[in-house]
Amino acid sequence: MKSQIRPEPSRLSKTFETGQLIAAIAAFVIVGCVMLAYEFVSLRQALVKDVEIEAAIVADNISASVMFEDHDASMETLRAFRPDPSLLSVTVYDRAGFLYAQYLTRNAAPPPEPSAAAFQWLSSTITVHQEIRYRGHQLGVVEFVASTADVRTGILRFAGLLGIASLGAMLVAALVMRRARARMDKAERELDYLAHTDPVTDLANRRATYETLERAMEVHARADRRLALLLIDLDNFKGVNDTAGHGAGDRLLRQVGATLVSVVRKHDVVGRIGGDEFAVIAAPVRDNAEALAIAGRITEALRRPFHVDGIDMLATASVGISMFPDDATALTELVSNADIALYQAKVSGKNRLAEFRPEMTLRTQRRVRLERDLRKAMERGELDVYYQPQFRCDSERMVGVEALLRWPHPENGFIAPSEFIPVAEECGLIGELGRWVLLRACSDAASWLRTTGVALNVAVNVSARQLRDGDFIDAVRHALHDTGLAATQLELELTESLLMEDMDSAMEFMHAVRHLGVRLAIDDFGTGYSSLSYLQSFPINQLKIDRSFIQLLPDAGTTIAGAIISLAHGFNLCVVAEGVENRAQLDWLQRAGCDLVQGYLLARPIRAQDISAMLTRKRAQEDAVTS
Amino acid sequence: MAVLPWWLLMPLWCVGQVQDVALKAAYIYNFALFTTWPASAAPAASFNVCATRGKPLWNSLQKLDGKIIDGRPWTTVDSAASPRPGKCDITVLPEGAPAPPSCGQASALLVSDGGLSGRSSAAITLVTEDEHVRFDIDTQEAAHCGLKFSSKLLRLARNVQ
Repeated sequence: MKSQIRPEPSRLSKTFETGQLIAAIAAFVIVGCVMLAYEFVSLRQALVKDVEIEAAIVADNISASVMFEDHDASMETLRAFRPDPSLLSVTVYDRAGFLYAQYLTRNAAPPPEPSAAAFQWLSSTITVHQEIRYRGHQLGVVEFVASTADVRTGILRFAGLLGIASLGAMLVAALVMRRARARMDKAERELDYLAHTDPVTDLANRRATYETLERAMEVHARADRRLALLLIDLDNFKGVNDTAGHGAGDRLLRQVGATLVSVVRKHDVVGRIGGDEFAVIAAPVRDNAEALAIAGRITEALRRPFHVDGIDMLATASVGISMFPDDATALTELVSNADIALYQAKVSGKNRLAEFRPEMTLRTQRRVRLERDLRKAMERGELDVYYQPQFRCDSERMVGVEALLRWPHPENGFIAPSEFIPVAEECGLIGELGRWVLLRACSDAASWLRTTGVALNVAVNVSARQLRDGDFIDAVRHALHDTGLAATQLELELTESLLMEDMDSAMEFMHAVRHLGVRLAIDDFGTGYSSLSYLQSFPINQLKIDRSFIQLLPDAGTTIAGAIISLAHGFNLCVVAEGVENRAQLDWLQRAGCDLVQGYLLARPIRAQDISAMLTRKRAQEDAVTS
Repeated sequence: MAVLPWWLLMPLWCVGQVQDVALKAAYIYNFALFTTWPASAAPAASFNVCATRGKPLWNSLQKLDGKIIDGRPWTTVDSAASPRPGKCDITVLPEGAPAPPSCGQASALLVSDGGLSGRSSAAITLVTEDEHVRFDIDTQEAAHCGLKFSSKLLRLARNVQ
């Protein structure tokens, strides 16, 4: 498998067996040496003791013979020790040191050369001297010379026995160790597999992928070659997981992994480094073009639907490419750059691939800074909600507002929502942000009613992330409850694309919202799918014609705008035209029967207190007219 | 030199009358070392060796005077001048001499230089055989006198009765 080209790690079990074997052999050798030495000393001491006893017997028995100078009797005494196999010679010297009698066995050799005391233990003979005394008189000395051949034979026999016993013990130990090693080996393999393999796809996991990348960088740096790191992120995997379940998600990931392995080159490495993130280490590559070609094959292969559990699923992916050593020479930098490129690929539209460019880093840094500042702004309450008034088209009377989030940055001025909303979505702040806007809008609308007596509708935009958040319905319920705003005054705006991403969830959400009595509007209608079927099935109240169509009016775009108005009315839906900037546009819309309008012509987005002031002013005017 | 065993000083290879006599005296000395006298006998201050003055062994025995046997000095006593068999620890009889009637109170060890007349044998009889000095032991005679010989001595005897 391509993901498992990493070298076999040195296993503990191998060193365990070798180490144990060496330790066992060493132990046997040491024990054997000690036992042999002990046995040698014991045998030699026993021999010495025996010879000393024999010498004492001779010395005792031969005293009379020596005193009476009876050589025959002396020799008879000496010959009595003939049966002793270790005996080489018995010699009796008289008191003056002259040879008196000597008995030599057949094995007797010439008298041994005097040796140093240290080596006497190793000599082939032992010599024992015993004085011959009788009644206090020293009569002479008897000298016994015995062979240590029996000691050597005994040692050899003992060594042989010890060797056989040790071999037997080693055999048993080896068998036991072999079994232990087999178990350790198996356990290590399992641990190694778990540590380095993604169990879902059987590809290298994050750790193994980065280890492989690090090694590849070292190898190719030495060879002065390039490699490419491709990070692949599935575009809508969460949707698959949420709708088809995690089991289907895992099977999709497995198929994606297999597809990646099939499209990369034989020696490239594929790993799964995150939930829906894969990495390809393409090494070596000649140039960027070759890396792009591999990335192209990947996006092309992933564009085809995957058949999972009888359903065709799309798993398009974005690919970020970073080159070594061109873009980075360090592992973390290379991965970071590939990640930045991947982010850019996603931002620029999904199912794209992007090569890393240094300027991307600046954009990423700006994004990181934006995220940090956004968090601070939320903590400090620097964000604000502006309201874009909505007017009845025919009477030009204000009947509602659209809540718009504004971020007056203390240093950089107003930050466009199109810039910080995606950041908030990515870093998970959108949920909190959305709930805050919702609560603020409901609160302001309720406040206007209380202070001016005018019940304005308030429209709040809902993002895709909020729709997926199961708690958002609860947030709506709590907002209405906490502020006392009538549900009918609240309107949630959803985009077409958001609804089409996950039709089932969207439908469930819309019904839940409608059940609360809250109104629903489709934002930017006409730019996306504009499916007629969903107009029939979705429980919506209102369509908002996208500003791009309104801006063309009245000279162009009348066909589309007119068609949308007719269509909406056909489905009993209210129509709102947004981005009305001149009187001609408003006139046309009035003639076409549009219900509501909003745009700079009638009012710019203003603060809540300005809305309140505007309502108060209008009411005062109306009161003046009435009176 | 006086403390050294006398026989070590003897030229053993010398064969001749003088050496033979000296050797026999040495044998008699050694017999004393391998013989146990009865404890009941009241020991004299000296270890008396009774011999006949003028006989060949006399001089050689006399040379041993002063040597310690069982804590008593070897004293050569002329048995002819003062025949006190009861006071002798060893009685050396020349060849052909008449055997004494009994061991006496001192339980004397009777050593005969050659055969005795009127008696089968002494406790120890010195003989010369093949130019070698040998000895025979009569344990019955010795037992009669209350004497005990070391087995080492018995082993070296030519004949033991």
